[in-house]
Amino acid sequence: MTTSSWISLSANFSDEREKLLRAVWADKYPHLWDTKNNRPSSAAFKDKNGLSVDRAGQRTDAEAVEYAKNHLHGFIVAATVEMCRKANVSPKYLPSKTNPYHSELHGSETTKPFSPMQALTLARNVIILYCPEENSMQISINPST
Amino acid sequence: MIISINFSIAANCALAFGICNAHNTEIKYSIYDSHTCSTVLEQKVVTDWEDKNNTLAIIPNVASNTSPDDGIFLYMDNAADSAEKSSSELDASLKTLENIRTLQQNWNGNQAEPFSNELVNRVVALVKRLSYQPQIFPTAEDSIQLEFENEKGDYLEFELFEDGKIRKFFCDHENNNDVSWITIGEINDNILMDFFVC
Repeated sequence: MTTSSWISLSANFSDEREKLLRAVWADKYPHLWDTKNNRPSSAAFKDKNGLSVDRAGQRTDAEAVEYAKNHLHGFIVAATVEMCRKANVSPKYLPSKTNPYHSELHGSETTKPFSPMQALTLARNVIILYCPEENSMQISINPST
Repeated sequence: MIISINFSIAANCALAFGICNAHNTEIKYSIYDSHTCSTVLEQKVVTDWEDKNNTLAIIPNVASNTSPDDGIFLYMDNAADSAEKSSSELDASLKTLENIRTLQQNWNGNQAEPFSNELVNRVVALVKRLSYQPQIFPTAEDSIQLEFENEKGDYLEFELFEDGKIRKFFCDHENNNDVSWITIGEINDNILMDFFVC
C-alpha cells in the first residue's frame, strides 16, 4: 500500500523485525506507566477502538522516535511485529492523512480489544525507545522476549 | 516488618514463637491451612507481649481447627507499621481515583469515554476496605484496572467495567494464566493475602 509519493509500506508487515511505536503517557495525567516495575501498565494496551501505533517502516529507531515525538508525548515504546504475532496480536496498516505511518494493533483478525494476557505480554516485553525523564534515547530489551 | 514462618503443628496444642524486635508491641498474625493456602484459621492482633526482648510469646490453641497432619503457616506483620503504610498507600489510591473521575471525553486522544461517578465510587469503596493497595489505571475499554504483583513475579489484575462486570486475570511467574468473571465481594483481603503470602 502506498500512502504518498515517497512512502511505500507493505500492508502485511512482512518484516518481523519492524517496530511498532506506541506512546505511554507519563508526564501528564492519566499516566499509564507502572512506576514500580518501570514499564507500561497493561492498561496502556487496552483500547476498544483499536490500539494506535506508528510503524517504523524502513526508518531507524532514532528517526521513528523523532517523528513520533512531533505528535506524541511521554515514553515511547515499541513492539516488534514478531512480538505481536507471538501474542496473537494483529497489526493493521491504517495510514491517515496526517500520519502515513499510522497503524493499529488488534486482539485478533476480527476483534479490536486485546485479551488481558495479550495486553500484559506486550506491556512486559516492549522495548523502551524514549524516556521523557532522561530526555535521552535508550534501548532496553527485556531478556524474556 | 513482615515475618513468615512455615512449620507443622499437631492439633489442639499451643503454638509458641519468638519475637526479636523490642519495639514491636503490636503483631498481627494469620494462620493458614498450608494445603489450600486459602483458609485463614485464625487472625488476630496481639498487643500483650510479656517481654520486649526476644520474648517467647504463647498463643494457646491456635491449631484447634487443624487436623494432626495439617501444616500451618504463620504470618506476622507489625500492625503499627502496616497501618501507617496502608494509610499513605490508600491516600495515593484515592488521589488516583479522583484524577480518573476528572477525565473528559477523548482523554486518550482516541475517543475514550469518561468514567461515571458510580464506577469511581464503587472502586473507592473497594480500595478503602483492602489492606493491600493496588496500582490503579484507567483503560480505554470503559474499565478501571487494579494491578497487584508479588515478589515471585505473579500478577493479579481486576478490571471493573462500567456495566458492573468485573474481570479477574491471574498470570503466574511462568505465564500460566486464568481469566474469570467475579463479583466485587470476591475481591477481599483473603484473596490478596493468599496472593502475597503464599
